[in-house]
This record gives sequence, C-alpha cells and structure tokens, in this order.
Amino acid sequence: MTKTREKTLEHTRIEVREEDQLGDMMRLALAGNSAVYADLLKEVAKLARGSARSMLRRRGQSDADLEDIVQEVLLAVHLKRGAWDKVRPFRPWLGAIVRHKLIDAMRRRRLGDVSVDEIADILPAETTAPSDAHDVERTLACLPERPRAIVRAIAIEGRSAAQVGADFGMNEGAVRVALHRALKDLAARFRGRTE
Amino acid sequence: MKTDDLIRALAEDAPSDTGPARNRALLLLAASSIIVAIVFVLLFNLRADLAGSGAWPTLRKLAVTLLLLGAGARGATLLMQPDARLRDALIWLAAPIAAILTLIGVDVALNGNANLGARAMGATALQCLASVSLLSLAPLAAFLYGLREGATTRPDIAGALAGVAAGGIAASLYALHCTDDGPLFVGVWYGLAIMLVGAAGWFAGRRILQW
Repeated sequence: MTKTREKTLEHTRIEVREEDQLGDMMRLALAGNSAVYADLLKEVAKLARGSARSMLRRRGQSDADLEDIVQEVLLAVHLKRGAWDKVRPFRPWLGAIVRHKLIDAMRRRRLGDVSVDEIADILPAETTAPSDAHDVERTLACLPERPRAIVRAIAIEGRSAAQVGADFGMNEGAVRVALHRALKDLAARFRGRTE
Repeated sequence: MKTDDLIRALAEDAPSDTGPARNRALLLLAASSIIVAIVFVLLFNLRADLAGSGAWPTLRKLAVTLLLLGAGARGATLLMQPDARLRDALIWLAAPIAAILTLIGVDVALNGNANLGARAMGATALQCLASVSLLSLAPLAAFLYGLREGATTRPDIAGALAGVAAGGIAASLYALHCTDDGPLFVGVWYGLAIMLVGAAGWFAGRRILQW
C-alpha cells in the first residue's frame, strides 16, 4: 500500500514538474527568448501529432493530412499565446487549444465528431516523428508572392528577419510585420480549407 | 512546408507581450461606454425628478442593470481562456436574476397582484426596447472586438455574455431617463431588451469569435 502511494506521489510530482516546465518555457518565450520558444513549439508539435495521428487512425485515414493538422495547431497556439493568462497553469490551456483545433480539423474533413473518450485521450505524453509525406509548396501556395518569399527565407532557409530585410530592401520591423501577417493568413487559410 | 520550418518562422515572429488581453477587452468596453454615455446625454433628457423622488426607483433599476453588466463582462472575459469552465462563466448571471425577482416579489407583496398585466406593460415599452438595443450596439461591437484576442472555445456563449454586458450598459444609461418604475415593467422590458442584445451577441460571436 505504501508502495502504491509512493508511486502515485512520484507520478504526481513528475506531472507537476512537466506542467511547470512547459509553463516556464512559455513565460520565457513571451519575454522574448525565441530559442526556448522553438523548443516549446517542438514539444507542442509532438503532443499534437500523437493525438492527431490516433484520431486519424481510428477513422481509417492515412497520415497524409497529419502535418497539416499539426501545423494548424501550432499556428493557433502561436497566434493565441498572448491571450494565455500567465498566472494560470499552462498545460490545461494548451490542452484546450489543441482539443479545439483537432475537433475542428476532424469536423472540417467530414470525419465526424470527436467522442468524449477521444477528447480525454488528447495530449498524452506520446511522441511521434513527423510524417514526411508533406508537400512544401502546398502550405505556402496560398500566400501572395512577397510574404511567401519572406516565410520561405526564414522558415526553410533559416535566415533571421534582419538578414531577410537586407536582402529584400526592407527594414527588420517591416519584415516582422509581414511575417506576422503571413502567419495569420496561413491560419485563416487552414481554417477555410474544406478538403 | 515541413513542420520544423514552420516552427522556425513562428519563433522568429517576435512576441507581443502587451499584458493581459482581458484588460484590453474591458478597456474597449469602458471607452465605448463613455462615448455612448455622451451620445445618451445629447439625445435623451435625464428624468426631471432624478435627484428627488425618482432617485430610489432609479437606483433599484441600476442595481439590476449594473449586475447584468458585471455578470456579462466577467463571464465573457473568463471565456477568453479556452480551458475556462462554462459554469464559472454563467454563474454570475444568477445575481441580476435574483435581484429582479426579489424586486418583483416585494412589489407584489406590497402592492397586491391587481392589474399585473397593465403594470408590466407600463407606458413606454417600445421606447425602452428600441433605446436599450440601439444604445448597446457600439459597446457590443467594441467588446466583441476586444474578445477576439482571446481563445474562447464557446464563441456563441461568449458573444451572448458580451451582449448582456453591452445591454447592461445601455440599460443603465436608459434607466436615468425612464420613468416607468414598476419592477414588473423592468423585469419584462429591460429583460427583453437585454435578451435581444444577448441574442445579437450570440450570433455575432459565432462569426467573430471563431479562430
């Protein structure tokens, strides 16, 4: 009996630490630490990928759309991060965002509603590798030429906003504004897609 | 685009840490209320006996309408958090409902239940409906705009609560003009007006608060 209790305690402690960890990462990210932010988003991507994959499998779907869904979740977390109340725990907030987006994604693909059991399964600590079957141009194709070039330079070529600004004859601030707008656009396109 | 590429782009999109989004939404509500208050003072006259015999009936009405404002604003801003519980957002509506029911109960106890229909109809029912709904439009629009920054998973309920808050502001202003003082009148017509605005907020929220 004592053993069980010890185990429970241990389990709880790990969960608490994990929750703190993601929350601390988000706090650092909001304070401007973009390296920590990238790490946090990678964690979020892993969690979302695990949940989305099991949802798609349960519906007999291939993983073709998996990364689309993961990216939609990432964009939502990104664009709504300012709305997170920093005194509230982060993990439930993240869980609610992921859940909302996954339910949305399934519904839009006409894969039916998400059952209560499935919702409880969202955000387990499962980690899965990204699926490779993803076309680079498909996501970006919906953007106008210039924003697309900016996103591509930063995302795929890994350049900083300052470097991109120098290449395009824009100042860094304008590049950041254009990037932010392009990301909002991407999120809107994801939402509007009915395939 | 590979997911890791997207993450690189997101990380490069600098954070805009501008404090709690909730405060900005409430600020928009407050600012639009001040503008509507100015419009109200220009278009409506305050009731003549506001400082005299009209003070107490006006305060009674204000108690209900300000509670509506508080409950709506609190609930709507709470729902900006996706993990907020619906129950927590709606529970405060019990306060204005309890207040108006108490006032009606006291009125019937003191003045009997003769002519309930006529007492509920009052003399300015349509004017009340029209004024409260129109005065609430600007605060509703401004508040909804602020709520967009949140991440509500219930856009319909959040929108309806925003409507209750905006209706509460409009009704509080209109109460300074209105001389129909019976609690039954207030319950029926102020209530109906707030419900109209709440319904408008419901439909608007479903469109505007999606993300």
